[in-house]
Amino acid sequence: MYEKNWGASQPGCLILLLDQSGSMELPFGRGVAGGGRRKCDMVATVLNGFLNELITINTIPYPDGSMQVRPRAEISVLGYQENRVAPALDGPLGGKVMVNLPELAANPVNIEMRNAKEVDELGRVVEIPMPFSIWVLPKTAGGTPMCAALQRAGELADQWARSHPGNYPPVVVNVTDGASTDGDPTALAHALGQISTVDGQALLYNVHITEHNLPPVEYPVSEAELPNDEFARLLFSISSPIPETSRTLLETVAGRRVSPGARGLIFNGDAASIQQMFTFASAPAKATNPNM
Amino acid sequence: MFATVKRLAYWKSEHDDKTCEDASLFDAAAGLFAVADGAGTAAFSNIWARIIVEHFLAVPLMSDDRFEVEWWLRIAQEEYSKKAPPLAAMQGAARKKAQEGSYTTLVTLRICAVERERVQVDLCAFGDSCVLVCRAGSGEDNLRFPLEKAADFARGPICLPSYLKRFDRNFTRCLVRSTSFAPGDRVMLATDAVAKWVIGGGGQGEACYQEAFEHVAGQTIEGWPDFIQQCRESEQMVDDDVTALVLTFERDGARAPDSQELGAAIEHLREVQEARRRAFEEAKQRQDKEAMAIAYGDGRVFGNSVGQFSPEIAEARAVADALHEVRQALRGAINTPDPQSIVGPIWRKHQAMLEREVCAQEIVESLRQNGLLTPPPAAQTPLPPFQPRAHVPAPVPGPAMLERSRPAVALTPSSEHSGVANRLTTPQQESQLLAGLQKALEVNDEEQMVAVYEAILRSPVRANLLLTTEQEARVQQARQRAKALVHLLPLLRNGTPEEKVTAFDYESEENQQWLKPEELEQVSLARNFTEALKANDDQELWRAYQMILHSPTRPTFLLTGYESRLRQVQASPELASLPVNAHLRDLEQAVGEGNLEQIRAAFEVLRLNFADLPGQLRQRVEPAVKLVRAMEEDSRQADETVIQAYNALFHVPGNRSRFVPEVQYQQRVQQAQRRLQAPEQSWRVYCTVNNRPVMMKRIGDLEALRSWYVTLRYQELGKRLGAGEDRATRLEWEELGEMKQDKPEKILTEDCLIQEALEGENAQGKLNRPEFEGYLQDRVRGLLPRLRKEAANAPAVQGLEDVEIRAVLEVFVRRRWFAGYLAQQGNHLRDWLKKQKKKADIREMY
Repeated sequence: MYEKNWGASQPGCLILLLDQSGSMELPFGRGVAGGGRRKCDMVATVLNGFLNELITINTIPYPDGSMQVRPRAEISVLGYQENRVAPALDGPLGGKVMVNLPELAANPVNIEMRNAKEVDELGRVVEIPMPFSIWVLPKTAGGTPMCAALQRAGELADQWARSHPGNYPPVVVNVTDGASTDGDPTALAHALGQISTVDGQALLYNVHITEHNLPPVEYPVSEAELPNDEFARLLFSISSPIPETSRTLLETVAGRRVSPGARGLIFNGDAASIQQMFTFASAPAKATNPNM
Repeated sequence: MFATVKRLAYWKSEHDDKTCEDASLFDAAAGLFAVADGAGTAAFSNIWARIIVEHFLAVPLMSDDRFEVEWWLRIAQEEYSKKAPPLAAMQGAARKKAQEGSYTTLVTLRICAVERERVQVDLCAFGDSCVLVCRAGSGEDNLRFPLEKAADFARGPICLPSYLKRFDRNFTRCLVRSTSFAPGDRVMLATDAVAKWVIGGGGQGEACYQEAFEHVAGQTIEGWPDFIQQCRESEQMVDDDVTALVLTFERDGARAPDSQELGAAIEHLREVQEARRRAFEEAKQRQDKEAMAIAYGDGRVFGNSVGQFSPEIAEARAVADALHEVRQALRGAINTPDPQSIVGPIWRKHQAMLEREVCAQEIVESLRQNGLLTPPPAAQTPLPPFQPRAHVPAPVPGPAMLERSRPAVALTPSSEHSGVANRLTTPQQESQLLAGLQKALEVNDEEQMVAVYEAILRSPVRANLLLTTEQEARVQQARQRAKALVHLLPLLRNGTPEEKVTAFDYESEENQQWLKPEELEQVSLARNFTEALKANDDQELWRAYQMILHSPTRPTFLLTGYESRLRQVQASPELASLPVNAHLRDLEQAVGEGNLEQIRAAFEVLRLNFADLPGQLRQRVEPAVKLVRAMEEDSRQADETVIQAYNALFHVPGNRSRFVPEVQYQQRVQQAQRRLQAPEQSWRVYCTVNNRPVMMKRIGDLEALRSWYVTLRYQELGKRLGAGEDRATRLEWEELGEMKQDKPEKILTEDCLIQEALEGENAQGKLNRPEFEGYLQDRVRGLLPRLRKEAANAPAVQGLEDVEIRAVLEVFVRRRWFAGYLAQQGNHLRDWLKKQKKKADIREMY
């Protein structure tokens, strides 16, 4: 179980749920990654950065300067705010629920040139212009209809799993900064977890971010590791256990030991937590072994 | 010997024969075979993998030395820069990916010697491409290298990068292994997918390794794609490029028409060697130590024994490693919000070594441009702390330096310096410096002590430095140690086991004596680790690793570069039965029970040195084991050991409740004491003072006496100089300052030799004793009461009479006059003095 890699012939499915409620306007605490910037801005930045990275990894450049983006993943980005759930990709892909990587690569809202600093072989710091594509713009309004988002994600995942029964199961990452305002999402989350392919059941990972300078709890094994908070316990109960086949990989991504049975949950996280979870969730697209 | 070689190659479903990222190449006549697996996540890995195998055949890598690997890899990287498509032609994500460069694993087989019945080979592997062996005989010793279990393939492999900026010589390490093959043996060099399949017994479990090997080895070139497709469809093999070179060794070539005679590769081509020597000489001429270290590599081309480096090369390697660490830190930090917090400590650690090095100029400039250099020192003219020279206008030592009655450290800068025009430090920074030194002294942090003290000396705040003599002595000792061990100490504080051992071995024996016991223990742990690593001995490596983990010096060890190797070791089946941890627990239990025989038994099962044990356990185990061992011997040396170990074991406060001396130990100790008394009583006498023996244990206390004398006398002379210039006073004052720089051991040894000789001559009435003693009256008499007071805590001083103190100090103060005597100890002192009597100083004394 959970052994398939994402490939052009057996792509993976990644559904990203973004909380776009009004509280995402608040800035992250000063002491954390993304400190001082609005949570919605940081989530958009991290998500765009992640999509850029995913495309780069799955791009094959050819000696003549041309390139091919391998369709190793199908991506859905859904935003939830007020009382609705809608595709969050902007620009030419606006309104599209599911896109593959070549489509994504070819249709950004905008391409910014950003300078990344690099240290060359002699130790000189050089600035390298890097194209940075934008697909998602920050938006915020109203409440947190998490139930509606999980409902929609479940529908998409089910549809996708039926059409790709032999592939790695769908992975859903939910980024939120607060409790659901449209009910208890437990039943919907558990229903999502029942969707499966031959390689396993769909996975739901949750990243809770906060504007307070609180220590994050990453990949807890039990509720006892969480703060005494009802919402924390709820997120724990709806987060999937990390598949054992991915645990070593997660340890590499997280830079820390992850115990067997750990849940795919980061509570009280920051911008770096979102990046970490996206990277981990999409790992099958990069292949466990880079030689493949 | 001959071999038939079969090359099996197929590609993943996304690839074709041109885009396949595996590469393999061999030259049987040269004895070289290589398989590489380009990383699918990187750009142009097919090009890079091809370059790497071609490069290995042209210039085989013959060592796992870090610098040898870098020398070898750099040549291949140059080739890549010529053959890789130009970045300018690429756009967007393609360009971004190409900028990251390519990566590949590599596994090689190099024949080192060919005999009729056997070939000797060296195997080398970066990453998870493997050598798999199927012996002709029983099937035992079927080597799998470097990975041995199917589960090992789940981890990301180490890869060779095509760009130098992506290469970390401490991380990108190869594993090597030597073995031999006989006729009938078969060997497979395979990329990861097929290697994993074979090691996993073709999906039937690792016990079916041999059958799986036979299955692959029996494939034909034409049938290979079908075989791979079947494996993929049955989900036994992942969809990846799959390459294997299958070698079958034969005694002669008669049985197989396509067999090839094997040759050996034992050295590089002459032109390669010459180019390398030239590169080294050029680097040496421009004093580029990093380039020297890399061109030198493992030194074999230069006639060097492997692992043994001259001081020049050792220094070059140390500089290159320091520079590398700073570069790596800068790479990791440059795009973070606070690079200073990451790069700053690393730079300060290596600043003294690097800032004037030619090879470090670029990085220094980068750090400067990015505001990452440590703030420059405040004063431009450093002031020696305690070493005034004749040609330097010596500062009058006012009360600032030595006044005992004033506070130990002044916490507020003086107002007289607050308006200095060229001042580069603020009053707040000055206060921080002074407080920093006090803190370092309190916690006995030598590194910090030296760093802050040196910073103070370069700043206006130096005038406010008020240290007690003890503190001054402590700081000076730390500075001397830091100076003597300038290369070693940073690595002992933070270095890989190999760095620690190499740096230790480069130090002279004299310098090594500066090391503290815990540092020697650290070197011993590091040596066990590196030797096990070199021997590729999993059990020893794991044992050494465990010892490091259990040691209090664990935080000083950088082990990240060995993680891959240690993971392999951890996964090896042999380790499950390794009893080291259980034995350690047995040992701890025996110590807890206080049973000496059991302690010895548990320790000896471990087959460790005492230094390998964790510090606290060692303190209890070492004397116990030594005592039990010595109990069985009957010699003078054993007598000494019995007494020392008995004292250490039963008289150490923490041990009293733990160990209860049994009768046989008490009897043996009494016997030893009786034997060691009487005729050979003087064996423990270091020297005599007025016919009273000075025992070894008192030497340290006498040193304290001398130290106080220097302090007080220096202060007194300073006051005199303040009142008016006096040549003799100034000379003595300067001499005292210089004495302070000598190592205590040297002073003590020389003093004792002089003392012995003086006493010998005096006992025969050949010296004018009253005059001899009288010399010191002027210097010491007034200081005696204060000396008594200051050295009150030194037990040996408490036991001395005034006349003895004077005698000790007399020799100390005048010891420089005896330099010639010390150089010619064959002479009697009296004869030597006669020869010297024309000299004014000697006439004055005698």
